[in-house]
Amino acid sequence: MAKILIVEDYKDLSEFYQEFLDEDTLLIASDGEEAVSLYKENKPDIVMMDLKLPKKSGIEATKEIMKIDPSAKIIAITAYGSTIGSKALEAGAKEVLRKPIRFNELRDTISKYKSL
Amino acid sequence: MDSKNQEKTLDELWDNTIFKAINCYREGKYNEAAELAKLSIDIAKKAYGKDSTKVAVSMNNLSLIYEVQGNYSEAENLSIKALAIWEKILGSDNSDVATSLNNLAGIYVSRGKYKEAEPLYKKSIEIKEKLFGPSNIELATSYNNLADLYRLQKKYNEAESLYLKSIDIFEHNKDKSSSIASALNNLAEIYKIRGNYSEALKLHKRAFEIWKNSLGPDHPDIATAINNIAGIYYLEGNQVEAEKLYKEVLEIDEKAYGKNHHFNAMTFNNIALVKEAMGAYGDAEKYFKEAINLSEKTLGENHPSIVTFVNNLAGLYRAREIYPEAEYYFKKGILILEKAFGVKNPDVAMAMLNLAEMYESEGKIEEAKRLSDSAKSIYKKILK
Repeated sequence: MAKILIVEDYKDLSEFYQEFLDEDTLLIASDGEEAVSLYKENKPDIVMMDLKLPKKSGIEATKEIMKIDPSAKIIAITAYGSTIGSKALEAGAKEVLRKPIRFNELRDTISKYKSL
Repeated sequence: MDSKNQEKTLDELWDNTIFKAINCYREGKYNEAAELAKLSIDIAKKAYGKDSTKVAVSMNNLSLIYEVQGNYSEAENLSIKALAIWEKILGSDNSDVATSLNNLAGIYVSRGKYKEAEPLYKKSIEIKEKLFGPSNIELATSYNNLADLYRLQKKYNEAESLYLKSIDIFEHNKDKSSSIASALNNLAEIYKIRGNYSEALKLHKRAFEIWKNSLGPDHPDIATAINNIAGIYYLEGNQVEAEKLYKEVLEIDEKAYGKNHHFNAMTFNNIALVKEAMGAYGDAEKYFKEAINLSEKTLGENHPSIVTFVNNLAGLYRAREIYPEAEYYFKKGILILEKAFGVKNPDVAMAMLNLAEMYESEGKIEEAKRLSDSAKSIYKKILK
């Protein structure tokens, strides 16, 4: 069992993740600030980080989480292409997935980082 | 011609045919290699009988060619037949049997039958350890293959330790073949997953040099090696170097497979991603469209592999707030997914939610809700 922090401001998509990743323990954040605070409190195994978020962007949240825990496994998720994607990698994300994600790709990526 | 002379002629013919088949295979000319391997099976049957080891060798060769070509079921059938012949004639503790076990396991891996593959690889290692001792190069290949399986199963620690053992043996034997390059390349992939890009890059570059020297600069495997190096540069943010290398990949692949091969579409896509990361949006758009057009031409308009390129282009438009174009391509992606996998599929639901999210950010609340409701009804049905 892995603890996964889902950071997604679009409620319907967040619900979708929750429905399909139900074998894991899920923590849910809908903005960047909440993501950082939930990370501090719970130290999840994996973070699925949307990059365009209210209050604090996914890039900023990634940077802060990496300061708290340089070994954090953050999978950046974006609908805005590789310009922002490459910034997420610079900030410390392990990988960038582009929306719409293929379900097997999501499962495969999560399972890859669970195994590390 | 008397029967002894005829047998000698067939013997030479078989040797010659096998030699040519192997050469074509090494040069990446797989169709020619397959025809020659088929011919060698016929010759071997005629010269030595249907259950001879030479028939098994020829079947095994054809099976390897089919595997490279993606014809896995034929490859599996032939490999099982070859293994049965070898076991019948040579018994179980024999190096040809070990090789055959290894090959069949490789086909199982290609078909995703990981559970079937593991005991075969282990048995092959056991035979080779018994026959050759711990430092034999044959063993290095087997360690490498089992490590590949563990890597696919995401058992990274087990895979790493076997790759290191395999590389040690190759180095001990001063081997400079493509096998050590594969081990280095695959170990690099594990370091990449762990985020250790500098180590991954070092290993990928070593693999590339070995491949270049052993296979020549125009072999398609060289393109794969360059592609892997480019991937690390991309992850490190070194887009200039990544672009240069992806263009080399394109050049090699176009030479090997022709300009109209679907392999090139993925490279167009990769160049587009690099261009997009650099902020060269016009170029990125052009390359994404090249990827889409080439895939449509070579694989058909509704092939699921096109979805990635279509969505990437849509994402580019969305990032630049060119919403009508983004909408057009996101919808196109949804249609292809529906046609390929049916409506009741999580990818379809996810793609709909993605478009709904874009509608919402544009302020098209009703359209967003309608689409989101459709997506929900799809995934609720899947979850039932």
